Amino acid sequence: MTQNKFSSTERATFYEQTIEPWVERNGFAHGAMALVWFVIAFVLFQLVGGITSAVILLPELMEVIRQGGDVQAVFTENLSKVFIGNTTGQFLIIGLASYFMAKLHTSPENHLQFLRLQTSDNVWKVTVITVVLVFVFMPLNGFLGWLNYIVFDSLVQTFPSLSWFIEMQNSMTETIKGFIGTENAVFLAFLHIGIVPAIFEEVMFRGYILRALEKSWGIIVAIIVTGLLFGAYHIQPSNFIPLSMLGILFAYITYVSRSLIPAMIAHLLNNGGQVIYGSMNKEFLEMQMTTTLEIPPLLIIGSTIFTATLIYLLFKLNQSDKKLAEHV
Amino acid sequence: MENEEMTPSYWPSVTQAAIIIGVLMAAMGIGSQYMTISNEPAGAQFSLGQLVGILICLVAAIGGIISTRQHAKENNITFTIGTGALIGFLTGVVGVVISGVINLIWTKLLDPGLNQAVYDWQIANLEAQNLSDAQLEMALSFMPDPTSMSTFLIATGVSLLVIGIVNLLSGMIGAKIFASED
Repeated sequence: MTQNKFSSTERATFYEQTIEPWVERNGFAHGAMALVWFVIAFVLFQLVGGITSAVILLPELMEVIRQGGDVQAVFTENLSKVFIGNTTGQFLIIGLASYFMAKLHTSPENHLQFLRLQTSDNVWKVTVITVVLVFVFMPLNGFLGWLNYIVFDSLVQTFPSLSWFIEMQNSMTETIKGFIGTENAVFLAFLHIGIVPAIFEEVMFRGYILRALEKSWGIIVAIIVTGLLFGAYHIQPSNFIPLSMLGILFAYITYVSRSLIPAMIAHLLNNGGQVIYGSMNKEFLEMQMTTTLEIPPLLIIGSTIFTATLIYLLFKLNQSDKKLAEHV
Repeated sequence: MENEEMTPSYWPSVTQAAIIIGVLMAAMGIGSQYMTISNEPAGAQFSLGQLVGILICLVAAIGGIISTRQHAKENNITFTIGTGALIGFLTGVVGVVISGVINLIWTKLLDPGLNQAVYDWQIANLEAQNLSDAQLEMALSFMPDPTSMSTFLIATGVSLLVIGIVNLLSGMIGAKIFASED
């Protein structure tokens, strides 16, 4: 009888390192899988969020239907319960299901590395630069938002049916502003608008989709497409450009840091910062986008120069880390 | 595993299956519109059009099965479920385009009054539901105008995604049944 010279642990490690991922074994393209998952996840997220909210609000909904009142008003008047539905959808579909999808793209035990759910040598350096970058980028992104508004406004003049998007977006913004403005709602708003998307949207967009697209089309296309998908996911055509630019920036930060942590912190600062600032400054909540540019041009120019400098700094940091790794 | 020799093109199979589901979807869609307007609006919550919409989705799902079966049997080859998914998705997309073209020809050239008649019927049906003014106003604001081009484009876009993904799944099943090496 021949004796097996490998232990079971060694055999398991060999198996884990050599086994082809499910996606490759079955002839799927990584990028195509990610695009299909984006569409499916978007639909499932809306369904899970909507159904959960409706179940939580069932007694109120039944009462309104019995009395012949406005069903939509039940949702806008009970935003804290609607947020629970939204958070459930974010956790189950955008976060958890995307995490399991990533397992199809990797050999066993490599999915955390695939998702960049890890720390790296430069992660804290990048995080510090990212924190500065988020604030420096705000005026430039505000300008891009204004440009987007101008373009979309002219589109609405040509195609009046598109005004539906503006009405929906305005109604959503007003409802959220009303919620942030109420007593004791800041913590809940910070949790649902700040923390939850910062974790789960990062796992799906900068974790799963970025890596899957990178495997198929390279990092530059992956960063751009991930950003555009992030912009489209919010269904706000008059905010598409600034949201996409944020998505591109977060993807770039994830790539140079080889970790999701800086992008999660940047996302939290962007969303959570607006919630906290809005709760302290009522004028900020009353601000509305108009065709007049209200950001001083010098501030936009300064923001552009500093943003470009910080992006270049991150690029150089990544280059020097790569050289160091090669040298070692 | 996919055959190593030169792989035959899947487009003939995709086109054949797409024509079948495209014509079926268009015929069912247009037929249901005539059936809808031939009835008196009685205020029913669930209309015939909605039922046919679900049926169309189910019928369209066979596209992926037909095209993968055709591709495997005609060329006597095996392929991965990933290739089956691609063949199914393309079948769905081409099928929706064919169905959209038939719909457009029918409603713009052969019977230009059909969409308006369906729209009027839907409004009359809502009014017959004894809704309060607030509910009626909200229902009307959510009801798309079927006569506008933007409604047609949005509906086609949504169909491309839904029917494309449904056929992607059925293409995977088709590849597993008809083109697997097992």
